[in-house]
Formats: sequence, structure tokens, C-alpha cells
Amino acid sequence: MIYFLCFILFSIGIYGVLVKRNIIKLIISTMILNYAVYILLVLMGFRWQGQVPVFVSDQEINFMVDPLPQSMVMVAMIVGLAVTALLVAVAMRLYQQFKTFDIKEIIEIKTKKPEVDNNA
Amino acid sequence: MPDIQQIIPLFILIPLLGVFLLALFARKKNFYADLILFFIVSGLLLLSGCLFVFKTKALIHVYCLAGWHLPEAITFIVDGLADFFLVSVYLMTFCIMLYCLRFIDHWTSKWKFYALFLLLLTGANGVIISGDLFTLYLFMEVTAIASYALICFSLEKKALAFGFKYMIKGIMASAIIFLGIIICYCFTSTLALADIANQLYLRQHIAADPAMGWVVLFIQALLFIGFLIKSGIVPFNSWVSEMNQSILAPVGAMLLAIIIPVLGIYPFLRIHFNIIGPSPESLAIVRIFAMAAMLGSLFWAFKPKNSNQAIAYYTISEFGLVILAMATNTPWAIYGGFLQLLHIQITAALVTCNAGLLDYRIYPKKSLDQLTFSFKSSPKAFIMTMLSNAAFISLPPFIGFWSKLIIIVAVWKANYHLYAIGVLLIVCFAAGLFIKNQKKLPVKNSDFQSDFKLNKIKFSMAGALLLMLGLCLGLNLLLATEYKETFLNPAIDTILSTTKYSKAVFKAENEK
Repeated sequence: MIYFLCFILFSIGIYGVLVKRNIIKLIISTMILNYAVYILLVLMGFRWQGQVPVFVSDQEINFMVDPLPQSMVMVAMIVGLAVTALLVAVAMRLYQQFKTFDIKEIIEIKTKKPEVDNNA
Repeated sequence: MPDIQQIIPLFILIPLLGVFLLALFARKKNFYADLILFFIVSGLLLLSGCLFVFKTKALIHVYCLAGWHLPEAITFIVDGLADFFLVSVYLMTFCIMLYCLRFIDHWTSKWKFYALFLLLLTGANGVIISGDLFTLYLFMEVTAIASYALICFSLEKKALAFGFKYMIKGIMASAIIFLGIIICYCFTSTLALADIANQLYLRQHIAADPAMGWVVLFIQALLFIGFLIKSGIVPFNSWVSEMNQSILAPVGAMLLAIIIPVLGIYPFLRIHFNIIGPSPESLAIVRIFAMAAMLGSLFWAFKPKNSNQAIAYYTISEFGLVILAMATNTPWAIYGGFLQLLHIQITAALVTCNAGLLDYRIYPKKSLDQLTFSFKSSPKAFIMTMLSNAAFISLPPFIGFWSKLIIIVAVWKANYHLYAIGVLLIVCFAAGLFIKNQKKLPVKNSDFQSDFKLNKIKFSMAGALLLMLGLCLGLNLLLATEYKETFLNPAIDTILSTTKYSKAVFKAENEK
């Protein structure tokens, strides 16, 4: 059931990316998409009644959660952060150039023929 | 003889070292940036060539980080397929680097462009040589981040809008690929490619787990869709149509010649053939899909808005042909597929860079619609454009003609007669459409041209184009048996070995 909820979150992210026109909402949708995948990965490593995967001298570990998905998520989150930062920077530049956050208006402005300047 | 295992990590370290040197020495003087880039790329081209020259009896070389062993270690693996992609990527990188040296003069922060270029190269190398799924994903992201920054480098309106669209699509593709990796890890408990192949084989065939068939199909579908979005193959091609007209020519050339093959075609080949293993059903689905992709590209190529869009759609159709050739799964079809891949990489970069010459000549003007070359105004540029178009649409004696001929004959001999006829018709029709669209586009506006002084084309840019044209002709050598055996047979054998790749990797690691 809990894995199914991750897929629902993933679907919400996909819906946002495909349907939303506002650039900021698009960025948030991509973040939701990514976090759904990270949550699924962490859940894949979880074991009911599993111990923390840390070696301690006075403790015997018989059954622990899988540590590899946790480290994978850490690395993937950092990469995702870099991509999101780049996305936000581009969004800011887009606003400076087009004066709007609406992706449809941006496409309309972009496809208008530019005036030819014959004087160099 | 040098130890090949010690050379493998240099493909990651040297471009990163280049980024560091550029940041350190090349901030003030562009000359140092040019020098560092030239020596780094030339050195890496020689290094990738060494992998062919210093051939040992072992066809697979495995490097394990920090002295660990498979399947726990992070590994870099170089086999025939990785060799082929490394050399083809570096050939194209060298040509694009020569073109960049003077093209980027018109923009500021040259060293930043070169640093992003080397970062892209690091990621591309990492994808090719990585021996586990998560490392492949990470290097894929590194390549993607560098490509996003390069696309937006000129900070023009069109470039930013295209860059944003490309980034959203890239993030979606990465999320889908990561989901596929997670599900694969969940069912195999390992990330090493060789071990995944082992585990999938054991669970599917030895343990005869009935659910595994569906799981493998789901993993394949997720990874396939992710790689297709990255490649821009129909129906995930919405970003490709605006590509060449929005971004700098060298970046467009990098996208077509390096990023699409490395992020789309290579992972598909590796995972479909060596890890999951091709089944008759999966190959049939891939063949149908490839044919549909070629037909779809033809449909979109019917009325392109400009020549750059025509180039983009024709290139996607050619990538579809590569996938069809690989999915035929016979030695000759795969041979034709590799030749076709080389043809696309070289000619797509060639026509994109040639179109970029127009940008360079009329800079700082932006409008290109009224200007192109005629024989009288610029005979050299006109001849170059005609030759590059001829190479692009695969006229003989360029390599594209022979690759398509080999694929059509191989597909026919594999008893897929309908596919062979379909490919022949699509190829002829697409070439005819491309020629027709080139003729229809606006011709020279002599008033505009006479009022404005055109920038002179620099030697390195012309040299890069001539080199790419030379490669289109020179690669005909691969049709000779001796050269085919040395340079292409290892890659063909890797594809045909399918899941025996896993045993070969473990054997190579034990023999170290």
C-alpha cells in the first residue's frame, strides 16, 4: 500500500509537468517527481524490525535495514539539487527576458518573427 | 606494454583535471584555454586509440575502485562495445573542439564554455565505462547538467526557452530511469551490471519465478522510455525540432553526435542485450517501435519550418534505423548498425557546424531567413554545403550509403522482408524530402548581403569541417575485412554475446 502511495505521488509530479503552464509550478512538479522516486528507494531498503546499520561494539546486529538505498538517495538528492538550482536560474533569466512565467506566452513571444536590423 | 586497467580511470580523471586547469590558468587569457582544451582532447583521443593498439588476449578489462571486488565494487569496464563508443565519441569531440576554438570567440567567458565541454566529456566517458547501474545514472546526470548549461550558454531568448524545455524533459527521463534502477535493485539486490545479468538469469530461468517475466518487462519498459526521451526518438521528439535553431552550433553538434548516442543508444544496447538479454518478443517490439519512429520522423519532416528542423528530423529517423539494425540481431545487421551510427554522428555534426558557419559569418546579426550561400557569392562555402548535404543524405561514396545498403540486405536476409522494403522506401523518401526542402528555402538576398561585411571563416573551423568530411570518406576503410575485424568485430561480438557478458566480466576480474 505504501509503495502504491509513492506511485501516486509520482503521478502527481508527472501530471504537474505535463499540464501546468507556470514555470515555478513546473519546477515544483519536477521536485515532487524526484522526491517520489527517492521515497520509494528509501522504502525499498526498509525492513520491518530491522536495526540501524551501524556497527557498535556492545550490540549484535542480526537483521538490519539496507544501507545502500539510503546512500544512493543522498547522492541522488545532491544531483537533483544541482539540477533544480540550474532550473531556477534559467527560470529567473527567462523572466528577465520575457517578463512572464507563463510557458505558453513565452512560446508565443519566441515564435514571433524578430525585426531584421540591417544597420550593424 | 602498459597495463590497460590503469588507463581506464584516466578517462574520468583527465577531463576533470582539464576543468581544474582551465579555472586556474585560463581565466585571463583565452590562448591558454585553447591550449589546454586542445591538448586534453587530443590526449584522450590518443588514449582511446591505444585501447585498440595495445590489445591483449583479454577482450574485457575491469578496473575496481579502492581494491574491492565484484559484485560489491564500483567498477569501470572496457570491452568491445565501450571501446567503439569511446573512439567514436573522441573522434567527434576532436572535430567539434577544433570548430569551437574560433567559433566561441564571439562570446565571453570562453574558459567557462570549455570547462562545461570537458565536464560533459567526463560524464559521457563515465556512462560508457561504468560497470554498475547507479554509477551509469550518476554520470548520465553529470552529462545532462553540463548539457543544460551549454544549451543556455548564449543567454539568448530562444536558447533559454529551449533549454528550459530540454531540462524538464531531461528531468522526467532521469526520474523514469531512476525508477527502473530502483525496481531492478529491489529484485536483484545488486547494482553491478554483470551481477544483475546473473541474478536475472538465475531468477527467470533457473528458479523459474513466473513473476520475473513481468518484472523484467516493466524494468525494460521504464529504462527504454527514459533512454528514448533522452535520445529524442519519436514520439518523445518534441524538443528536437527547435534544437538547431535555438542553440550554438557546436552545442547542437555535441547533442547530436555525443549526447544522444551516449545517453540514449549506448545504455539501451548495454542493458537490452548484455544485461536483460534479448528475447524474440522484445526484439519484435523494438523492431516495430524503430520502424514507427522512422515513419513518424518522416511525417514530421514533410513540412519543416527551416533547414535546421529538416536536419533534426532526418537525424532522428537515422537513429531509428540504428535501433532497427540492432534489433535484427544478426552479425551483418549489427555491423551495418555500427556503421550507420558512425555516419549519423559525423554527418549530423557536419551539417550542424556548417549551418553554424552562417551564424558566425553574419554575427552580430540574428536573422538568417534571408541569407544563404550561392556559388557566386561564396564558392567554397557553397561547395562545402553541397558536400555536407550529400554526405548527410548518404549519397555514395560516403559511408552512409554503404551502411544503409548493408542494413537493408541484412534485414532482408534475416527474413524480415517487409522491414527491408519499408526501410528502403523510408530512406529514399526521406532523402528526397530533404533535398526538396533545401531547394524551397529562401535563397540569397543580394541587397542584404552587399550592405554587410561578412566575417571571415577561420582555419580551425574550416579544418574541422574538412576533417569530418574526410572521416565520411575515410570510414569506408571499415568495409575492408582487416579493419572491420580490428575495429568493429569486438563491438559486434559484445552485442551477440548477450548475457554471456556477465561470465566474461567475472572471468576478467578474477584473472587480474
